Amino acid sequence: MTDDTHIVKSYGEELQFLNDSLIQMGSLTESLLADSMNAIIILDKDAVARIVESDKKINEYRAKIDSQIMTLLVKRAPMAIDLRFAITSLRISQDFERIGDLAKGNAKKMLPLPQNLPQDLLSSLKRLGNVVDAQLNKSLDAYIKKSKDIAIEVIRLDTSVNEHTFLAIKEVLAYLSKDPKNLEYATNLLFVAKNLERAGDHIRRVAENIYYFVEGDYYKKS
Amino acid sequence: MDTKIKIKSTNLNVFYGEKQALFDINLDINQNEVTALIGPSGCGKSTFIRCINRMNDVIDICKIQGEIEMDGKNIYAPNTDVVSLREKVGMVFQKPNPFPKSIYDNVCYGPKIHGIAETKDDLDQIVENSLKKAALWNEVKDRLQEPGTSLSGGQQQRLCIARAISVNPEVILMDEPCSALDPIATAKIEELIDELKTTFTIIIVTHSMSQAVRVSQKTGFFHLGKLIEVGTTEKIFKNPTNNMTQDYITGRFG
Repeated sequence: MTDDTHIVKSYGEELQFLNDSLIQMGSLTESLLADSMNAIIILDKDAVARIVESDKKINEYRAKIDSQIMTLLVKRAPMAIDLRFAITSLRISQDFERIGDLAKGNAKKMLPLPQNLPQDLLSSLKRLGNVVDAQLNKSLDAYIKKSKDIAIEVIRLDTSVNEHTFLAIKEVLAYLSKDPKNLEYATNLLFVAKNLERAGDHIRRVAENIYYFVEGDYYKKS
Repeated sequence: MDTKIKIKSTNLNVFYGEKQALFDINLDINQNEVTALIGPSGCGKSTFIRCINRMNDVIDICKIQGEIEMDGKNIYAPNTDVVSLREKVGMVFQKPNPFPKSIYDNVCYGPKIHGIAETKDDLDQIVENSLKKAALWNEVKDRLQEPGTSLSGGQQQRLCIARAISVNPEVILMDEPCSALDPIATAKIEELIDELKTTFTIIIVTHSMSQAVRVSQKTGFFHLGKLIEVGTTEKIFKNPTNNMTQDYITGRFG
């Protein structure tokens, strides 16, 4: 892994390459999520095309990482920490891909929205987006450092994500109750909140996998 | 199912002259399980299994301290009948080593010298049963009088397994039994090992990590004559406790 001292140098390099690919994929996902969130807040509809393209790149990473892991399993029959690394990387790349999909979905939800949405409504979504962004950023940190403690922090942030989702949904419902004509917009905004919450769940799973990689056992809530 | 300890090694130390080959080995071997011993060459795995049937006795400079119990009896106690011990503990080696005799004679040799069979019919039955248990019967039943050495490598190894089990042992020691075999023959032997464990207790020395994972329930890692870690095979290969074990099985050992 990162402190690699494999006897077969190319094996170590393959693991390192996989590690780097996953970090790149994670960084791209992080940018996409932030980009999508930012576009929603400022209702930048031109950003959608760019976000869709970024999501494609993330999907390409997923395919590339899948292939790297398959080759690793076939060639090296990894054991112990290397096996856990291969398996958790496979799972983490799936979660990154899903986060990318959700961020892309959110950006698309913005297309029908009017430019004059109330600021309060957007601020609560913005706060939720910020918490999820921070959670994803921390999960990448945990992955880079292979830190169990940071992974646990990420897992615990899930509660905060859920609370912020609840507040954002409340805000959207209040907006809806003001005028039935708001229904279409409100529905879209509810999806945005829900997608962010689901992204948070995927980030939590990323962290749980990092924990499993480090500890060789599943995270149990204490 | 409760696991019963078949063999118990307690503070086992082995010396070849001045050189100590094993240091305080404490290892329990469960009955009707396959225990794999892994570790770099010269780490003492083979020395350890050779203590179990007292093969090391034939080496003059070899000195053994400590105890190995089988079914609660110390096999190094002065009154131990070594011949009967070796009847109970069969062995299969790295390279197939059939006797330069017919397939039939290879298998019936042990029962004959141990006086297990009384009549020719008994002997025929033992040969057939042993070859069946070794999954070789169908391939050789029409050529029992041909030399054992005429068989392929994989078949020869199964013949050696048949020879080992022909005297109804309780334990089978296998010292890298597949290292000279191709993948198909290896797969056959591995499948056989899995079947044999219902009848016998098996200890296998292997350099193939994946083989240890496939065939064993318990794994011990030896290094420089010491037993570094022992545990369920699953634990050892997914999440070993000791860093040396991890370094060895992941190929980081320098």
